[in-house]
Amino acid sequence: MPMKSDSTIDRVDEADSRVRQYVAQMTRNPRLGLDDDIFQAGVNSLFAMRLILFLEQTFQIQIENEDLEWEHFRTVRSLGRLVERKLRAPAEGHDDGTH
Amino acid sequence: MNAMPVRTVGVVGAGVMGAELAQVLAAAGYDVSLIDRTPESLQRAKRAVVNAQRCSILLGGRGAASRTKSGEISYSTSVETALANADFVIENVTERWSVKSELYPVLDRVCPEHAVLAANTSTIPVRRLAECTRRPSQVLGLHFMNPASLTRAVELVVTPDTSTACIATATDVLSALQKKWVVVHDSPGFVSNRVLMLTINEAVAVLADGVASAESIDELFRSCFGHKMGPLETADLIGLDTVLLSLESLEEAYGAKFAPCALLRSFVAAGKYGQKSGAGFYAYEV
Repeated sequence: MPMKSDSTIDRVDEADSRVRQYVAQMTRNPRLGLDDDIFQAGVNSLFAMRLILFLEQTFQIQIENEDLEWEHFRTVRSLGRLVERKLRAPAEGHDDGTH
Repeated sequence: MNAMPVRTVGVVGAGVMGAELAQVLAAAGYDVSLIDRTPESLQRAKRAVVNAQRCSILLGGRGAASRTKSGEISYSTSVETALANADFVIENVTERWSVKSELYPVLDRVCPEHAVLAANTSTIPVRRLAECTRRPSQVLGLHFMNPASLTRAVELVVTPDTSTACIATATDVLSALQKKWVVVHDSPGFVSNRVLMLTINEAVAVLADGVASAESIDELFRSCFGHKMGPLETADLIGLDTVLLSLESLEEAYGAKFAPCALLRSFVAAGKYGQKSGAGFYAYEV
């Protein structure tokens, strides 16, 4: 496995909780679970847009058009997985041979 | 009478609604001229259009995009040049009579003779706008609801002067956007906002009186009436500044029963406009 920087590890580890905190506030559902459908109260394009921008700004990642799959955005857990994959991708793409 | 063919649509006013409409129209294959007053507002609109396109992809291509070649969106600060070839114009400028009444004679002057002018107004009577032009038979109201890309229907407002060809042209455009429409007669606030704004204003008054929290008020509408959203979260979505302008317009038409609640005025004065500003009856991360 390629080495990851400590900051990347921290951000991967906190992805689920940070995403959960954001979505819970935006949907005003403090009991939001990791596998709850976050759009169950109805689909709102303004919220969807905010969510994309939140992920990009908070985790310094770029959400590409091919990432915009409904399944990636349905729950906190699936969002956490998307963030984790995006955070790990640059490290794997720039293998410096330290492993 | 037959509908006019529409290829190019002018969207005047590039706020949240205008930018989203531009994206929806382009996705349906129309070439769009998106117009606003300043380069800064057009820059914001360009970002908003890109984000609306991304939302459209995420939300399942529910617009007309997937089966049609997308049209081009051009951006301009000049109605004179941008609307010279427009077949259909959707006006979304600020919900204020002084702004709209200055704009309509200009639209009438610069648009081709055959062009239809559709007012995306929420409270101002369409007939008053039509009377600012020399083409009242080609003016109607298309009240799109927020979010324009997802709501299934549009309130289509006709005046006694609106021609059947004008209505047919508008319904062709709506069909291309995969929208249904509900035809109503012209009247301040039409149906949707005349009823909705009164409800929102009273919900704010209930909150101000300390009868219940914002969460409790909205929960009653969601759980007891089966609404998707309660009145206060709906107000936050619409924008409290827009709600206030709508109420002021309705108060002018119908009297004191639409007088905006003092708490609503204080929110707007404090810059709390709802979701778009990050704070309203609820807090939002922006």
